[in-house]
Amino acid sequence: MKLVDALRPAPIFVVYLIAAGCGALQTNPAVQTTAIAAAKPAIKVTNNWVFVSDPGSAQVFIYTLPRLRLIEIATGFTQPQGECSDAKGDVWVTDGAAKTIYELEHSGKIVHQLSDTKGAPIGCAWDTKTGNLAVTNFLGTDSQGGVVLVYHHASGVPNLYYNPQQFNYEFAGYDDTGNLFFDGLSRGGKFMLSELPANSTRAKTVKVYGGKVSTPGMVEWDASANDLVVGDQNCGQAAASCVYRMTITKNGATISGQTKLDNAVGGEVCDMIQGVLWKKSIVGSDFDFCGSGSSATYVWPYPQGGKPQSTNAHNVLQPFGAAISVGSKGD
Amino acid sequence: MTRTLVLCAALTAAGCGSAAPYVATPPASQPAVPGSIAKKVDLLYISDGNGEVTVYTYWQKTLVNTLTDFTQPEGECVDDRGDVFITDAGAQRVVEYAHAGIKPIATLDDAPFAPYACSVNAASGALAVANEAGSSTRGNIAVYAQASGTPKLYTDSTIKDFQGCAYDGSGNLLASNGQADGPDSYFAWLPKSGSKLIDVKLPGPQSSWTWENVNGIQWDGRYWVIDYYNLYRISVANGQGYYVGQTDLQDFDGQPGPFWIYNIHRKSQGTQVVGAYNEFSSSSVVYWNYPSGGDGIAEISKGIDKPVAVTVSLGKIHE
Repeated sequence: MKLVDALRPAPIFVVYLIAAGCGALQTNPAVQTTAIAAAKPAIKVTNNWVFVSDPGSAQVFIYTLPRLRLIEIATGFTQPQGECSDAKGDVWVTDGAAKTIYELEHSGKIVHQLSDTKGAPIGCAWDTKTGNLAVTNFLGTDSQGGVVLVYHHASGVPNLYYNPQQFNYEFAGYDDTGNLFFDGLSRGGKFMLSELPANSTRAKTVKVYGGKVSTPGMVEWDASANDLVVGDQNCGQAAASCVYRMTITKNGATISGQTKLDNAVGGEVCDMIQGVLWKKSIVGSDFDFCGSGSSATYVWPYPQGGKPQSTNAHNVLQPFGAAISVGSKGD
Repeated sequence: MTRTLVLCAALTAAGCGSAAPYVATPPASQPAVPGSIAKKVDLLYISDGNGEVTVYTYWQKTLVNTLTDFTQPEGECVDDRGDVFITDAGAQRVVEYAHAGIKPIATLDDAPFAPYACSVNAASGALAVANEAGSSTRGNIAVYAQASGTPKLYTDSTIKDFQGCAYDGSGNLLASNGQADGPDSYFAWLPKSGSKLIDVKLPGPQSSWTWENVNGIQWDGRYWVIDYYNLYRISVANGQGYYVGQTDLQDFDGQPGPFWIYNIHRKSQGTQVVGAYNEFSSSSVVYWNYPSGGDGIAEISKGIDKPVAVTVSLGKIHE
C-alpha cells in the first residue's frame, strides 16, 4: 500500500473548526457534510470512492467521487483487471496473471484473496441476494474456453458454469433477483451475451435485438431503470466506446438506448473497458491508444453521456476496470 | 520511399524460353516443375543465410526456383493474392514477388532502417515491417498502406529494435524486439484503430515466465504464436495478454525456428507448422503437425543453407 500523503483528507477536527468559524465555507461539500454530521450524529456520512485497476502499472488507483481526487494507490498486483463491489463496500479485483481475485477493503488494503485454478479471471459480479461472488475467466487452461466461477459467500471452492456457445467470458453483473448476465465472445470471435438464471446450473445465450455490439465491455444491472447496461468497446465497429441500455425479456435483450462518451478534449472515448454506474453518473477510464492524448479517468452524466463532469488524466497508464466503494467517514 | 513496379517480369520470363512465365529453370539436380503447375500449388519460400531465397513446392518439396539479388534476406510474409514480401535487412528494402514469380514486382525502399520481418493485414492490405535501427538510431514498425507509398512509423519507448511482427485476422498487430538488444524479448501491441504502440506483457505457461530470444511471431488463424524454441499460443484482448497453450516440437536439440503456420483457411486455425532448423554442421526445414506438434513429419535439407525465415504462398486462396 502506498499512501498519497499530500492528498490525505484533512483531519476531521480541522474541518470542525473551519466549519464553525466561517459560514462562507459551507459551500465546500466536504465541510458542509461534516458540519451536518457534527450537528446530527445519527446521520452516517459516507465516502464514495472509485477503484480503478491499471494492469499497465499493476496498481489500483483510488479516487474520490465525483471529483476524482487521488486518495490512495493499492499495490501488490500482477495484472489487475475487472472489478466489482460487495455489500460491505469492499472491492474485488481480478488478477489474470496471478490467477487470483483480491478483496480490498475501503481503504485499499487487501484483506482476502481467492485463487482461481481454472484460468485467467477478468471480471466479477456480486450477488446482493445471496452474497455469492461470480468470477469470469477469459480463457481456461490448456487452450480451453472460459467459464463462470461462483464462490458461495465469496469463499471456498467455486461452482463452475458454462454456456457451451460462448468461448471467451468477460464482464458480468447480477440483477436484483440473482440472475447473472455476462458477455464475451463466441469461438468465432463474435460478441455474445449470456445469462445464468438464478438457481440454474446452465447458462444460456441471450439474443440481442435492436443493434449490434462489437467488443464486450461492462455488464451491470441498473435497478433504477430496470435495465441491463452493456458496454461496447468499439461502438459501430469504430474506435469509440459507448454503453447500451438493454431491456431484458424472456425472448432476449433489446437495446433501448445508447450513451456515447466524450473525452476531455471533446473527442469520443477511445476505449473504456469496464465502467461502473454511480448515482446518475457513469465512472470509467479511457485507455487512449487512438489519439495523441493520455489515458484518463472520467465521470460522465448518465444516461446523457457526452462531455465528462470530472477528469483525472494524471495517473493511469492502461486503465481497465472500475468499482465503487462506499465507506463511512473515517474508514 | 518508392514502390517500383517491375513490369518486365513476365516479359523476361516469357522471352527466355527456358521456362514458363514466372518459374525459373530448376537446377539440373532438381526435377523440373512446369510453371503452370507451380503457379497453382502451394510454395514454400526460404530465406537463406547465403543471401538467396529458395522456393519449393510445399507438398512435393521440390526446389523450383532460387531468387537472388538480395544482400541479407530476412523475414518473409504473404498477402491474400499469394504475393510474397521478403525483407532485405542489408539492402534496407522490402521486395515483393508474385506467387511463383522470378522477378520482383515491386520494391519498397525502407532506408535508413533494416527490415527484419513483415506481416500483411488481411483486413486492409497494409504491410507492416519490423525494422531494426539500421543506419538510423532507433527501429520501428513501418506500416505501408496497401503495401506501397510512404510508411507510417511507430516507435516504442521500450523496444529500440524490432525483429518480429504479425497481424491477426482483425488487423491488430503484435510486435517484438525478438533477439535484438539483448536476450530479453519484449512485446508491443498496435490495435487496429490505434495510433501508437502499447507495451504489453505476455504471460507464459508458468507464472514467473520471461521471454528470451524470441524468433518470431505468427498468427495461426485464432491465436498469436510466439516462436521460442517451442510454440506458445497467446490471446490479446482489452490490451492484455492471455496464455492459451503450447505446441512442443520434438526431435531437435538445437535452435529451431523461425516458423510459419500453414493455414489454407485464414478464419480457421492452421494445420501445420514449417520452420528452419540450424545446426553447426547442417541446416534444414522441418514440417510438424499443428497444433499437436510432436515429431517432425517431413524435412527438406537439400539446397538449404542456414535458413533464417520461411513463408508459404498458397496456390489457391481459400476464404
